Amino acid sequence: MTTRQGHKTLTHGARVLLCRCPERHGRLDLDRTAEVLSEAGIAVRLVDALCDSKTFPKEMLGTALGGVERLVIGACSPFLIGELLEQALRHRWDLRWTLVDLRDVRDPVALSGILKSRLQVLSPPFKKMCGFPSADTPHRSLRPIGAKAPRGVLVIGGGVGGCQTALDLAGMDIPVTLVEADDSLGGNMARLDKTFPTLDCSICILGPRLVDAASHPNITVLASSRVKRISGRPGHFLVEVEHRPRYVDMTLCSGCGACSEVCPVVVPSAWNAGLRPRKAVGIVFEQAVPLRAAIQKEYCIECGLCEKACERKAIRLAEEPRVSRLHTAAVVLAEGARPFQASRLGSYGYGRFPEVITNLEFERLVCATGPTQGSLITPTGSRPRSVAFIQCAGSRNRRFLPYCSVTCCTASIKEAILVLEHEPEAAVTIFFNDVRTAGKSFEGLFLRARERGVRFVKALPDRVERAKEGGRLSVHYRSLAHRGTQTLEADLVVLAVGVEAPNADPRWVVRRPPQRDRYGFYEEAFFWGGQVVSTVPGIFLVGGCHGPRDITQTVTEASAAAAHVAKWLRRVSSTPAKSLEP
Amino acid sequence: MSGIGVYICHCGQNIAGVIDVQALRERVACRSEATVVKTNVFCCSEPGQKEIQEDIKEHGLERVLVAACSPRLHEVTFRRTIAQAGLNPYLLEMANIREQCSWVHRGPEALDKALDLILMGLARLVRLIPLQDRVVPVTRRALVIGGGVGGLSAALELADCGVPVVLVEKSVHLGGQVLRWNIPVPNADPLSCFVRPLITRAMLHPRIRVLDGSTLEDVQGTIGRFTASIQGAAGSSTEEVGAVVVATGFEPYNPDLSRYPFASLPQVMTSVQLEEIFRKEKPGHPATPSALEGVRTVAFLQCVGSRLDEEYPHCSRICCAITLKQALALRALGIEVQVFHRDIRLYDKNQEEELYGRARRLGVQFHRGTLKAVEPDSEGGLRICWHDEFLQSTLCVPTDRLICAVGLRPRSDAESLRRVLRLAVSQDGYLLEAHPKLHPLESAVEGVFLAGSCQGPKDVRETVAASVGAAAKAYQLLCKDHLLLDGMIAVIDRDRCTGCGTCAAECPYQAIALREDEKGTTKAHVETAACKGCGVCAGCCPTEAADHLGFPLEALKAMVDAALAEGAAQKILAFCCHWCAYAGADAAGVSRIPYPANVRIVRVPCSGRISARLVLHTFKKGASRVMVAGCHPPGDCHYISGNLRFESRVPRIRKLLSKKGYDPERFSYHWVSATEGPQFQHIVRRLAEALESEQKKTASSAPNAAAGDEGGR
Repeated sequence: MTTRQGHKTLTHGARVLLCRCPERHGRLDLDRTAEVLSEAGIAVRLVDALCDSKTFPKEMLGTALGGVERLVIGACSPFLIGELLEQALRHRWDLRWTLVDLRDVRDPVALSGILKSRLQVLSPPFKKMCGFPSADTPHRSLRPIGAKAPRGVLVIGGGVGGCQTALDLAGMDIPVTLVEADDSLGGNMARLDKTFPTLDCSICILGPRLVDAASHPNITVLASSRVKRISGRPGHFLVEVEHRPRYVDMTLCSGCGACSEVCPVVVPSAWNAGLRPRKAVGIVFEQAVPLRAAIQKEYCIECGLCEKACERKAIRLAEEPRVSRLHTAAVVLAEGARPFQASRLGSYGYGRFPEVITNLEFERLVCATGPTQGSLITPTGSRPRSVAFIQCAGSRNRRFLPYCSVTCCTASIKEAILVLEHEPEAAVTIFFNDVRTAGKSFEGLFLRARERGVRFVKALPDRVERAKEGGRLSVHYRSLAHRGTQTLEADLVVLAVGVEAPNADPRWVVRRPPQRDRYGFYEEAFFWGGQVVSTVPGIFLVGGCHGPRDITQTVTEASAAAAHVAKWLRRVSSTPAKSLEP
Repeated sequence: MSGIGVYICHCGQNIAGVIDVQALRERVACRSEATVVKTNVFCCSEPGQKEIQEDIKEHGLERVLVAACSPRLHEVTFRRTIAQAGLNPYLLEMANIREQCSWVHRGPEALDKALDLILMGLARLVRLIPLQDRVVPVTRRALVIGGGVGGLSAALELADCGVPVVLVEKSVHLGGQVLRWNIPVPNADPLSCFVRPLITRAMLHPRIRVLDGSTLEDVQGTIGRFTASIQGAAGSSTEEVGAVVVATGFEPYNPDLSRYPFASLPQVMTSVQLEEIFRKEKPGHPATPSALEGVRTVAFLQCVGSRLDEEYPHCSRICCAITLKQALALRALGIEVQVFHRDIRLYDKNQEEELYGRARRLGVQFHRGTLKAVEPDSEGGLRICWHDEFLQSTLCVPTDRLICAVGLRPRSDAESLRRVLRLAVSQDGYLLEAHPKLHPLESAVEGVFLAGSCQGPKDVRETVAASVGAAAKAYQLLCKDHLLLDGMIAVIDRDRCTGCGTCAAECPYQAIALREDEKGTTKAHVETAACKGCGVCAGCCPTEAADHLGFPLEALKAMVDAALAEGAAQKILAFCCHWCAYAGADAAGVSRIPYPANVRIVRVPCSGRISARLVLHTFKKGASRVMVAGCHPPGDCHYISGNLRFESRVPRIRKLLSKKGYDPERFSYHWVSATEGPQFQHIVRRLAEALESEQKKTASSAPNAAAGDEGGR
């Protein structure tokens, strides 16, 4: 296209605007680029810092862009300046513009080629263009979908993060579908006995929240369900949800528990970390939401006793899995993290010695609704006189989890205090790497534990052994304060296991699924992005699925994600959710 | 008692299997004057609900009692049922004869208790007031205080969602603290490249009005309707807003010379000053700042101003990560770096642990222990003496510069703002959130939200998340024209009120104000939009002028009377808070944990609702034991601190009891959480055993028996 005609087309009404941004790409010789472009007859403007509040209006507003029909802006990433440009140029329907990120460009001449080709791509105006102008997000997917746009939002995961997101969205009059894989909402927080730093009862503060979520008219809860497939494009996701059969009619069951009274099959309760028996049919736990029974079919012997016992005739032994489909405008991933498999740490003897338990098992053990109804009894049946907590079980270890799992330090301190509340005479030792109580009022809990006589030892034990058959466990450790290996006798060893990335991946059938980092956690698209923006527009991240987090942070992110979703919905639909124009 | 319908649910065999429902129906019909007394296999089922609705039309019922499961489960359901049939939804009462009767008791005493529960319910039902939901108009504008990264994020989020925003910033520049931090975070865009577009966007946004150089002078009003007076350079103005977002941020700790005498030495600087040195240099080039010219070794001292045992025992969360970033920047300039620390606290999986590893590989030395002394040495440098925890000995190392990694503190000028907004502070001086786990973004004042590090130390990313989250909370309020709140709130009897102000001081939500009425006498006044219905005011009012519309004193007294009408001396009366203790009793039922059947539970919204006179009334009616059960302090309370307000009242209650001739030992209070079924059982058992042994004793010493039975009157 080197004809005279083509040349004219390229330069007519075209402008290239380059930002020198000293912090971000100060080393790039933009003067040279400008020279090459000017030689080609393209109008070029160089500015020092485009985003500055003094420069920007001069370059972008009023008559500054008079006569310009096509504009290529060479500056920073769309996450940094995209919204500003969009806000300023939203009403300039006659102007087509695009943004080129200069960060990774090294060669000024090559850059001029890139800019020229982007200028060429900006075709004559035939329809309204809007959306993130970026090289790597296709315009097509970001065009407003308008009246046809779905308004609903899918939230995957019914833990505290998912429920909070759903409640916040529902409060904005946005319909939400909440998909939970387990039989009850609540996630890991429902399993905790107490929450740090105030030692509040976990299910007591969470339970009402779950009930609110389940009874909200804008929220549809799909428990025992799994997202099987997500396809479509940003702003218009097609989701397939598979409903695992519960073998109980949810509309008829009242959660009375008559079925579990007659059920002859006793199985370990997975919800109680296998520490307590339950029947093959029944509710998961007393505060479960929805409070409906479910049959664990893998254990069921189909004796039919529950069918006879159920007065409401709610048992459906022949139920089949169902698949339903929905269209949603946005997806919020709140799947949470998974606890690390403690058995991978061979030397601590988890799985070999019953007295070695994980921190989640400990939570169930001391919980009033747990296997021992709240009294602290070791799995061997005695009351512990010496309890050892081993921190960083899996975390901060290059072989397993190279990152810090954030919550386990404060959680172990809380658990140490709980031990002392049950057994005031017990000796409690915490083996730590660093005590990371970096949160509001967490330090106070640490000090309280020290005052109450919890011993903190800066060492990570090598191994846990049983010296003689039937004897106590011995924890071998080396602290630099003393020479040689030392030994601590313990009746109960609690491994503060870290958290791993979620593995249940919905089958992504989109062009570019949300990226995960090398640990498997979802990646945030943008470092400063409030920790909720995934690499795919319209998909947002909440809680443990993108890194270890405590409850407070998860709840905060849940609200932030709700705000992002609300903004996203305004953007993809030409009829905003609620018009608030003054 | 005409126009009342009583429905007794079989709940399949759950109730009918233990209690003879027909006998119960007959006894209720004979003891009360209810128009309709019916039983139903499942009241909550569709036919069950339909029967109630048809009876309402046919028999002209005005109030309905459903004796079935816990009101925590189905009160909403049945309220909806009767509302559909045209009744006021508040004219419903539930008698909990499943969780608190048939699931925990057996035999004839279960039937007796069920009857009592229904009669108690009827006593309350006839005294219930037909209430209306409160409709509060909402001014759809927001006020954001603070123009730092938090305030900007919150304001932009709200404005993008279509809400007009007034942004008040004290200084003349937007941007706040972050503009001082200039050393880049590895593998991330420069912070200024994130903040500068935010500032520009806020200034150009059509829905944001930036008032820089302004301060908030006063805020009046309640959720949905605040009036803010703002003092600016050009004079003062008032703004009508529906919600307030506080994003006032923090300030870096300024080393106190009495604690850190070396901070005045020329070789010592704070981490903020180090950032500013980098700032003055031409950016983009890793050239040594002039102030660090010729410096070969730099030491960092962690926890300056944080984790001080007596003075300020709180961790500042972000300084360890900042030190790592700074250490790497200095290391890139070829400077030797040592870090003197206590714990290295990193909490972000994204990169911090990796940076820690990188810093160690690049030769940054980390020493764990306690600082002994810092002295200038003869060569113009410093000598740092340090007790090393690993080596168990004191080391002295020379260094050219010492950087104090200063902690974060709440803003010293935030005090006036705090007073204006009537916000509470937590122990560390930061603003107090409504709940540390589940309401980190809301303050105790409805309609006021906390964004970012005014609530506690946060890094920039967390600040952005918290601010956007706070904006989401504000938007939920501002996206509607009206706010619908339930009608169960406090009310003040003007004639009885003496204007003493006790209720205003105790109200956890500052929903009561003292105002002069037309005659010029001071009276308490309930701000209906702010009231959450805990009833603490009714519990503390010395003249019984304050009352709770949903749980009026008359109704509670009538329930007590009904419960103690027969065999009072054998009975334990338990006032249980709806959120924890009542739920704990339900949990005992769900887990089928039996407890003595002579306990009668009266549900109250919060233990703070219980007044001394109510307890006295209960004893006057002959109760042998009275217990009050609420949520575990401090955090479990649904109403911030209602449980603590009640606890503070206990000595007065005991004194009143002994003055009136009752044994104060017979009154007790307990904390029971919603899961603590076994604890509830334990408490009731203990009370019942004490009662039993006491009665045995009085029976054996017959002359005193009468006095014992009369409750020691």
